[in-house]
Amino acid sequence: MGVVKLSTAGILDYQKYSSALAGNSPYIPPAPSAYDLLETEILTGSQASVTFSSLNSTYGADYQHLQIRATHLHTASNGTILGQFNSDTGSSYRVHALRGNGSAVSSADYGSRTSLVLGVDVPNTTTPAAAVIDLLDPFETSKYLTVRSLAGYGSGGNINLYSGLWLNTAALTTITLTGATNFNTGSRFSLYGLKAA
Amino acid sequence: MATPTYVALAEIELASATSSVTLTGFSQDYRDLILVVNGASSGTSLVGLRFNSDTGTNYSYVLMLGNGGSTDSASGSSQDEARVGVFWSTPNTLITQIQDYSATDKNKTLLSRSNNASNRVSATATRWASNSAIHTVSVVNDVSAFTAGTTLSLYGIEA
Repeated sequence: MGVVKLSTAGILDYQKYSSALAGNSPYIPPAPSAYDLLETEILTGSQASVTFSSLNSTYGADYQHLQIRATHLHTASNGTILGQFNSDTGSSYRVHALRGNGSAVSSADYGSRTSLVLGVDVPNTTTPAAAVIDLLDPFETSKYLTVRSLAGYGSGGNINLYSGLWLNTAALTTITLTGATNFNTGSRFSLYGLKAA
Repeated sequence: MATPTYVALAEIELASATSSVTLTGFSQDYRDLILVVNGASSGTSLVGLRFNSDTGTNYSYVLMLGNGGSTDSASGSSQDEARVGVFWSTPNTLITQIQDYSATDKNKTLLSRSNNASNRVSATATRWASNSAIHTVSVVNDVSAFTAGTTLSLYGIEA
């Protein structure tokens, strides 16, 4: 077979491209997630508290906000989640609550406290309660750390909204979550980060 | 090590009025689900969830609400659905956290926020008295129908 010369002589409408990929849709990689699982702890036995530590050094450069998602069971009735930061056990915490108990809505000012209240009371040892806790700007050192929580127990319990404040401008290094009664097996505490831009 | 999560599992936009929407076949590889419903109802209606087609009286709830003039709180047990909010004909949003949906060692707890700027804002905690992993979520409009254009989104959260 003879050699055939390719020519544009007979093509009246054509365009030259410098890329072999011309005409194809460009590949756009998916945007990276802004919400990351950082750590989780699922209890295999009862324990008094759960601690997330080295937070500023590990996550401070990458994350703007933190979130904790918790499902908590307790070894005795009237358990709840109490929170402290950077091992501060002073009266450095403020809490307001809006709560519904099945018959009325009430509001409470907890005053100066040695810990945040982040969960609802759990009236028995077999059914879990849940809380979704947001920590805003935990690594900034120009403002106090503000916290909010949506917490509830759907079987004869309460549904609560909490607003919390830690009167300290230190960057967050440690979160200690303590059960008002010990956390029981199966309790789960997961820490998430929302990335900084 | 940080793990990207908050993964879209299902997205539905209703093409016509529908009284019940079932989300199924989603992954069991996550720990929590977040359900987002944004839209309206053809008439004022409770919105409930049923899991794994369970129509037994295995659900209970406690809620609180404010309607601009007063507040109220109510609770119920032995319900045949997980009550999570109320929809009106004006725009509504419902966001429900379904905790530990894939776990088989505990009952399931839900936390919901339901908003309607013309009527009320509410929060609800709900229990499904079952240790079964959730494979199916049915979103039920009790007395009317979700209008066309209502969107339902389901996300998975690892733990």
